[in-house]
Amino acid sequence: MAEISLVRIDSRLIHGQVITKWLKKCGANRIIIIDDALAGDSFMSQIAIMAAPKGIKLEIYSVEKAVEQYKENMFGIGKLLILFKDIPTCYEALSKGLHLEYIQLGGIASAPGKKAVYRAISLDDKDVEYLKEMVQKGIEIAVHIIPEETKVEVQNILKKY
Amino acid sequence: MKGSLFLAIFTGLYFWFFAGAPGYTLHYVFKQPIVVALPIGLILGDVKTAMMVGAAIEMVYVGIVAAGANLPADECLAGVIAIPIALQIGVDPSTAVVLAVPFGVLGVFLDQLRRTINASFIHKADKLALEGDIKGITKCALIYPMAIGFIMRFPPVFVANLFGAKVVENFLNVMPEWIIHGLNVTGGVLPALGFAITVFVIGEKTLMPFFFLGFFAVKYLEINTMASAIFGICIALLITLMRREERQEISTDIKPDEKNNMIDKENLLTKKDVVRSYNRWYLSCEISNSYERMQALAFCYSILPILKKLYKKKEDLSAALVRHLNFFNTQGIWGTPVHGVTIAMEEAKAKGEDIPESAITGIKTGLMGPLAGIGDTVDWGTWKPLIFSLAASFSAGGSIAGFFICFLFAIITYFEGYYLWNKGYSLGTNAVTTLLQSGFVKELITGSSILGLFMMGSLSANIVKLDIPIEFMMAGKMTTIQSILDSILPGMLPLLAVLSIYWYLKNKGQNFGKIVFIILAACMLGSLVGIF
Repeated sequence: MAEISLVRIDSRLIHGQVITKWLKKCGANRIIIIDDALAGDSFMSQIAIMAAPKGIKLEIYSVEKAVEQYKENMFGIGKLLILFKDIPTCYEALSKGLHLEYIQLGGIASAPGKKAVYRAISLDDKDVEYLKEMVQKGIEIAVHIIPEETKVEVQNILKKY
Repeated sequence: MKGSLFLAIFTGLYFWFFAGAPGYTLHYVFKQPIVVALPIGLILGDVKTAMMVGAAIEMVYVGIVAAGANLPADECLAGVIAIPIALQIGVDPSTAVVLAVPFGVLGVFLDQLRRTINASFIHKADKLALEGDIKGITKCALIYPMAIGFIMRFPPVFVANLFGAKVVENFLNVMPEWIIHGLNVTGGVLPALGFAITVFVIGEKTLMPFFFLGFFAVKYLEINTMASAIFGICIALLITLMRREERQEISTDIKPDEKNNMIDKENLLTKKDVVRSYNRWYLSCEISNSYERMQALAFCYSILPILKKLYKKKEDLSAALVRHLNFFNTQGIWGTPVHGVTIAMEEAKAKGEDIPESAITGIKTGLMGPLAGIGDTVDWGTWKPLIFSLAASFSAGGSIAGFFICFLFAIITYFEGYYLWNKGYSLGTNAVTTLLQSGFVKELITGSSILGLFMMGSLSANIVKLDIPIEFMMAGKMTTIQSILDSILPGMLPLLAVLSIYWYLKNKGQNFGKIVFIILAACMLGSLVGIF
């Protein structure tokens, strides 16, 4: 049974903030990316795996596979940093049976149809709906871009939508 | 005060211009307190003291990494205000360091404001892209963000330097002795924060002995910084090269993906076009950074001439402009293969190859993150603290050498980017696979981590000051607690300071302002009860 030390939703998945800051802060030794598109793209998967820092095992699963692994033995052993690219993927994993207590919002890139609500967080109707539902289920969700800053509970930024 | 109006205008302009971020790593060099110090020293006629103060402030900020352009503290604002004040009222460098801290915090808010306002320019650029208005996009990427920055950044520095010295002087005059002394003690400890953050960012637990090696090499063998640097480099090289020999027997099984090597070179673009767009990127990549789409505008700006050359029809050009205004963010140097690959793909597309828009966007968004992770680790996490702390230790005694050493950072990173950008263009995505596969990147990270830890140890030993000068009688002779501590383990307290801060970063949190406050409170208390 692996220990989940951090779950983060971040459009860029692994990048500077995750590698130089959060990985060190949470002390994880495995990064699990849960993303259907990336899991199906062997080239980009290779890049992500090779770009992981030394001593960190990076694995990429589709939502289906990830939930399967979770139900089987809670991802095996080690300390995990779990990354999702967007809110709908995270929501999907939860509704398929993944249990999470705390979700960190790191950066949700803006795109057509999304509204910038708080610094690097842009949301659309669907995101907001899912976030509200997850909060209602008792999951703590907060925006926390870098550890130097204090986190902001998601309820506060949803008001701005 | 003589020359203070000129000084206020100069520093205001200086901060406005360089905090606006022209030249990815070059502007960052100009933002360093130790670089700021030289012109201020010249204006106030005391270069030596200015360099000493600049070096002292530099040490505190040497470890911060602005990952994703989120600035934890602004060393430039700290330097550009605290150095002139310190020089004018004649406080020592240690006290000046503490004066600098609040300005460093203020700078963070100014930068957040900048990146919030910058979002309006990308919205404007969206509209201009539809019309294919290249000149308009250029203004959005360069002129408007710089112009609006003037309103935000000039006034605070101007006012602080016009009146600040008088205010601080009056303030210090009414303070009791223990506070003045406490400030001085705090200033001696604060560099420990800079070193601890660097150690934390390097973060390789198994390499920690190199930190202690560096520390005690200074304490027991009494070597200076230059000697530390030489030994550190030798140790780092020895270890990485010896590991390479062992590793050569194990080969990797990942093959470059042939189908991604799609570029055949019947070129529409010249080498000059490609280099020119790198220079445009290097110049602009942080100027227009906004929370909403980060470096999107800069990305588009960097390849404007290329798109213009490739797409003669207005609707083609406009479509290209729109797709390159999508969210983009990477580290400005190690992320450049992405641009190279993108340019090659656009060239192929313009030649009529069937490359869908989603393929170009997919490559951009897929590669930008992993490469930024490497770039932040190598450039910001290691090169930066190494070069700037070396520079600061050279100038701690007042030499101007540190000013010049800082520029090494800009030179090295500029050419890293130059190389990677061109590789990306000529090799396509294979450039990235080859780069990551060769193991060179990991060697570079390990080697520079070893050097970094060794140097942080040696600098901690040289720069951090903390002692307990309480006197008492022992065996009929006056002695101090400090001399007893020294006889047990030299430098015990500075080492303890660095390690405690490291522990705090690891287990409690990394709020820069909060840590400074705790250090300040501890030192003040120590000063009040007379321990320090």
